[in-house]
Amino acid sequence: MSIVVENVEKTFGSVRALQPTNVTVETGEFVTLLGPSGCGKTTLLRTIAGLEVPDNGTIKLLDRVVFSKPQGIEVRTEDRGVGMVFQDFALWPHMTVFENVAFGLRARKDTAQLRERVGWALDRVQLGGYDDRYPKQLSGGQQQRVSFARAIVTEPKIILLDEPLSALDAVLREGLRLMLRSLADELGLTAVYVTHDQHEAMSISDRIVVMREGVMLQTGAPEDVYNNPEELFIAEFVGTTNFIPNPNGSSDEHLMTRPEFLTLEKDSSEDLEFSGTVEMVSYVGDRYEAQLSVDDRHWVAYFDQRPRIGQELTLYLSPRHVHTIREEVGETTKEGLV
Amino acid sequence: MRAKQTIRRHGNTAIAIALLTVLILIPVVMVLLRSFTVDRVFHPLNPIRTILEGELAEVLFNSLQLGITVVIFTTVIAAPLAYLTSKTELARARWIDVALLIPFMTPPYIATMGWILFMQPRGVVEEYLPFLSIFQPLFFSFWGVAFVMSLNLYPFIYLVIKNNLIEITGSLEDAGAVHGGSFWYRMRRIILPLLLSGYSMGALLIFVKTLAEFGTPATLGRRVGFYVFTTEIYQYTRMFPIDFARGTALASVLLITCMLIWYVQQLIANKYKYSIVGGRSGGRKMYSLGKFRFLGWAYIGLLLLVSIGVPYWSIITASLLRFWGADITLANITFDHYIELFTPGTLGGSSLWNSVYLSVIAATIAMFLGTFLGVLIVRSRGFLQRFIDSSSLLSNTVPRIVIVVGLILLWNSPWLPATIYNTAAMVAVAYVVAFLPYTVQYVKASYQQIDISLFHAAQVSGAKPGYINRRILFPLIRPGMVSGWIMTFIISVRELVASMMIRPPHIETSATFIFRQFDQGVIPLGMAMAFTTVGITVVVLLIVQGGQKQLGNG
Repeated sequence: MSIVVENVEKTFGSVRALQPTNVTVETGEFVTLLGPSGCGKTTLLRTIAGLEVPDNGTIKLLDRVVFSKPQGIEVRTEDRGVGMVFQDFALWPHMTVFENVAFGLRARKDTAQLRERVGWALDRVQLGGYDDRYPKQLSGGQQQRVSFARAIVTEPKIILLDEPLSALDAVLREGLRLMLRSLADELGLTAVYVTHDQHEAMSISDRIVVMREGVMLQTGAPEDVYNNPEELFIAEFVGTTNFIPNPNGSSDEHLMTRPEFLTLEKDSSEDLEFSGTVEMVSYVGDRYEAQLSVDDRHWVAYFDQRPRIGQELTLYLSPRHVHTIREEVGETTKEGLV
Repeated sequence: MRAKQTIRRHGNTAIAIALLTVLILIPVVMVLLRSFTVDRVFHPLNPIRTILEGELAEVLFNSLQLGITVVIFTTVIAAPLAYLTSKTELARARWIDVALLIPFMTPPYIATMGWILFMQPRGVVEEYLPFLSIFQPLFFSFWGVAFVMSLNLYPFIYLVIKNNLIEITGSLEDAGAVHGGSFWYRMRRIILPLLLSGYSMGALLIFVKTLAEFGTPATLGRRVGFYVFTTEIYQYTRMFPIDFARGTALASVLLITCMLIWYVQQLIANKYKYSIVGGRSGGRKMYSLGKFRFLGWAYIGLLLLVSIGVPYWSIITASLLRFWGADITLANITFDHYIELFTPGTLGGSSLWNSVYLSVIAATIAMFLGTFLGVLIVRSRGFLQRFIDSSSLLSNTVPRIVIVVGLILLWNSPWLPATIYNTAAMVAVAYVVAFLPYTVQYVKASYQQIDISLFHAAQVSGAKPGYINRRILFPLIRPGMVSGWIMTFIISVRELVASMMIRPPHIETSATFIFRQFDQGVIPLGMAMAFTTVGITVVVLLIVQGGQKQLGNG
C-alpha cells in the first residue's frame, strides 16, 4: 500500500472542502481524482503533499506516517519525498531548464552525478539538449515536460499530478497524456492524478475516484464508473446519459443508458422500443451525433448516416444496457435534468 | 520547527513596528501634537486659529489656487498628447514617452531656474527673442509658477490618460459604432466614462504633488511674492525668527488636506473602477490624422521645446559662461565651473561629494530596510500587516516637508540624551525615511508577482525555508530591490527640501549649493552643478539598467 488516507478532513473558513475521506492507493497504481471545480480533489492532493494541513485524520506514504492528528505527527512537505507536477508548471523563471530539474537534488544536497541524473530525467521527457534554455524560451508543452523531469529526477516512489494538462491545448494534451502514463509505468510510480476532464480520467487511470462537494461518491475502474454509475451526478458527469421513463413510476429509481447502445435495428425480441424526433444533428468525423426528443426527454444517439431534422425514428435498446440508479433517502433528486 | 518559524516571524514583526514607529510615525504625530497644543492646551481648531491669527489665510488660499490651476493646465497639455500617441498613427513614435521622462525626472527647482534665466531681464528672451518679452510680466507672477510646475508634472497625467486609453480595446469602440454611435457620441458615452476613474486619480495626485512641492515656489514663487504652504513652513522652521507654532500649524493643515485627498481618491477609485473585461487584448481603434498629421507633430515639437529645450538650453549655456551676463561668444565659453566641481577642497566639490556619499548610504539602507518590510508585508496577514504596510508607505502620502519638520521635532528634542541631529547622518536618515516607500513598493510588487506554486514546487522538491529564500525568493525580488536602490539614490542626490531643512550648518549638498549660488547670483557655477546632478542620475540609471539586463539574461 503506497498511499493511505484515513478520515482526512479540511475546512476553509466556513467551507467544508473535504469531508472525512478514506483512500488507499496500491503500489504502482494510477489513480485519478475526478470532479468539478470545488469538489475537494485538489485539496486532497495537497494534503498528501503536505501543502495543506488537514483538520483531522491520518496520512501514510510508503507505510510511514507523514500526518496524524491523533498522534500529533506532521512531516513537512520538503521531507515527504514525493514528486509533484503543477497545473501552471511552476517552473522557476530565473533558472535554466537544467537548474530547474537539478533543484531537488541540490536542495537535498544529493549532488553525486548531478549532470548524469538531470540528463537522465530530461531524456525521459525527450528534452535532452535543452539544458541551457530558460522556461520562457520553451513552448507550453515543453515547459510541462520540464516539470515532469523535475518531479522524477529524485526518483520518488510517488508522484502527484495537479491538473497537469489543463493549461495546454487539445492536441498537446493527448500526446502528453500518453507520455505521462507510459513514464509512470516505466518508472513503477504510484500516481495520484487530479482532473476535471472525464475523458482524461478514463483514458489514463487504473482507477477513478469521483468527488463532489468534498465527498467521494464512487471509486472504481473507468469501465465500472462509466457503465455502473452509482449516483445521478456521476451518470451525468461521466459520459452522456439518456434517462428512460421508469415503468414502475417510482421516483427514487432512475433508469438510464448510454447513446452507443441505441440502435435502429431490432436485435432480439426483448429489445425495448422508443420513438423519437430528431432535433439537431452534428457531424463529429466518425459518426453523427443526434439530439432527439423522446417523450419530452432529450436524448443523444449515434448514427452512421445523417438523419433528417424532424425525422421520426424508432430506437431499440437491449435491456442489459439499462442501468438503474437508486436514490438514497435524503439525497437530492435532480428532476430538472431528466 | 513550525513553532520556531512562528517565533521568528513575531520577532520580525516587532522589529518592523518598532523601526517604523521611531522613524516615521512619531515624527508625524509630533507635528500634529505640536500644532494642536497651544499653551499646553489641546484643541482641534488650534492649527486653524494659529493660521488665522498669523494672517496666513492667504497662504492657504494661494496653495489651493495653485493646485487647481496646475491640475487644469496639466490636463489641457496632456490630454491631446495622450490622444495623439495612443489613438493615431503617432503612436508608432515610442521615443516620445522616453523623451517625456526628461521633464519628469528634472528636479522642479532646476527646471524653474532654467525658465527664470530664460525670461528674466537681460535673459535669453530679451536678448534673442524680444517679441516674447510681452510675456515677461505674466511669467513673473502666479501664472509663471503654475506654468512651470505644470510643465514638470504633465507627463504624469499624460501617462495615466494614455494607459487608460490603451486599455479601452477597439472592440468596445467598434461595438459603439456598430450600434450607431457617432465619434463624439462614443467619446462622451464610452471613452470618457471609462477614463474617469483613472483620470480623477491622476488629477488628485497632481493636486497633492503641487501642494507639497517646494522647489518651484521657493525659487520663482518667493521671487514674485507668491507664498504657499511649503515656503512658509520653511520660513518659520528654518529662518530667523523661528516660529514652530506657525510652522507646525501650516504643516498640520497641509498634512490633513493631503490625507483627505488621498482618502477621496481611494473612494473614487473603488467606486468608478471598471475592469475592462476580456483577457484577450483586442487591438486599439486607431484614427488617421491624414493631412493634419503635421499639426500633431507641431504640438509635440512645441511641447518638448518648452518643457525640455528651454530649461536645459538655459542651464547648459549658463553653466558654460566664464562671466555671467556677457554675450555667448567662443571667448566667453569655459569648462572651468565643471572642473571646479570635481576639484576636492572647493565648496562645490565637497557639496557634490556629500550628496553622492549620503545618497549611496541612504539608498543602501533603504534597500535593505525596504526589502525587509516588503517581504514581511506580503507574508503577514490581518491588522499587523495593514499597519506595517500603511506606515511604511506613509511617506508617499505625507508631504516630504511635513516629515522633515517631524524629524527635526523628534531628533532635536531636548529630552534626548544623545542625538545625530546636526550631523551628516541625520541627512541620510531623512532621505531613508522620505524615500523608503519606493523600495517597499517595488519589492512588494515583485514578490506578489511570484506565483505561490513556485514556492510549493520548491518545497515538494525538498527545499528548506532558508534554501527557498536564497534560491527562489531573492533572485526573483532582486529587480525590485535594485529599482528601489536606484530610485532612492537618484532622488536623494538632488533632494532640495530635506537637505535644506535638515542639513547641519557646515554641510552643503548639491541641491543646497545650487539653490544658494542661484540666490546669490553666482549663476554659472550653480548651473554647472545643476547639470552635473542631472547627469549623475542619468549615468547611474544607465549603468544599473545595463547591469540588470545582463543579470536578467545570465
